[in-house]
Amino acid sequence: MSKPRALPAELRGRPMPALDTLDDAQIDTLAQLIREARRHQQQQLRHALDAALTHVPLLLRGAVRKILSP
Amino acid sequence: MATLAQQAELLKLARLLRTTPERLGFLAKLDVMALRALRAHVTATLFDADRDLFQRLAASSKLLPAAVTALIAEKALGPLLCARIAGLLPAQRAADIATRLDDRFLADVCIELDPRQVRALIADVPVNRVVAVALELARRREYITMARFVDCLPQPALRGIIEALRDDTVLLRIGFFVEDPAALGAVIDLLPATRLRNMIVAALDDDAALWAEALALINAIPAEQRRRVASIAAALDDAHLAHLIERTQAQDLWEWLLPIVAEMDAAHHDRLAHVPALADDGVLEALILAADRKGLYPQLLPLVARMDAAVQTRAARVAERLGPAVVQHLNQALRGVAATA
Repeated sequence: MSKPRALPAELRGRPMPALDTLDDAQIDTLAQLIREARRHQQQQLRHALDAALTHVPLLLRGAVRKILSP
Repeated sequence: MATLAQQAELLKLARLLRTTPERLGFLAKLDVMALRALRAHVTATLFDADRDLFQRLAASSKLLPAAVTALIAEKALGPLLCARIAGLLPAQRAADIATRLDDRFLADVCIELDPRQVRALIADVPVNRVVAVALELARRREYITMARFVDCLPQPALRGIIEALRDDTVLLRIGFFVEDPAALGAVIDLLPATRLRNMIVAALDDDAALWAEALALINAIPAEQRRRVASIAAALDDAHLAHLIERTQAQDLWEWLLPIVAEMDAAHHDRLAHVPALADDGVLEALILAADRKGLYPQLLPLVARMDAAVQTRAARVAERLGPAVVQHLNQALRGVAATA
């Protein structure tokens, strides 16, 4: 009996029975693609935050920076 | 081979993952529903990963005048982040910002958006801007993106887009990619008969497999609109009606056409039954086999009833040649019709 397929960590907590039809290599490829998309999104966010502040009027820059800072 | 719906899902997922549909070829074995579920999971995963920062960005934008936020959106955030944040802003505020953005930029944002998250926002954007963005998307042949918005657009915007999009083939191609064909009911109601006729003809005349896709689509739309489309198809000129039968026969699509024929009235059955292309033994055999395979005799028999006696006799001989099981099923269906008459 084959063991149940492990979900990619990137989709943890979100059951996806359809992924049972994929083999290990395909699951790995999918997980890798999701990781890359997350990296791309985070990269865009970093660049965007820096660029956005340059367009904020000086008077409001401090307040906006405060909201954006974690 | 992947269906149009699968191809569309793979493209949408590829865009979400910033890759190509070819790289996702290994997912082609998943059906449309599974691909759609996977896309929903990935969308949520990507959103959840940076939810806190998206919310902070949305909150900070409230401090700024709409004009400044629009400038930042276009010059700093870009379409991907704008799409992620759009649903987090109050709808009126987001619409105010959107109307200050360039049509081409808004088209870029639409490609990244999940339209269901911004339904209220779209309703607050002036119709002329929605139409302008739709035309930009059509110019780029972004039919898959346009299809995602069909059930999220208010009726005035839908009407405006339909009036502005003069190419009926474009409307047909958008229709193929709508995830829930029930949503097409409102669109079909807005289309005059001539445009629906043009769409049927475009599907018939296309060399690709558009006729098969069109039949699948007509079968999936709500019954009221299906009856209307069936009646328009039945009123095609003789040449196109013959073409319809030839295309259906060539691609063995009778099981998809018969339910549509069943929606036609007696006068249309009469006309269709007398199209010479139908009185061919090969066509009659394919028709009977499809009805037998799919239990569609109740849909086939009203058409046969309108055929000339000589063609009916030939149809009976064809059924005999197909074997006793077919004859038995046919007789059962005939008894059923007689009992309900």
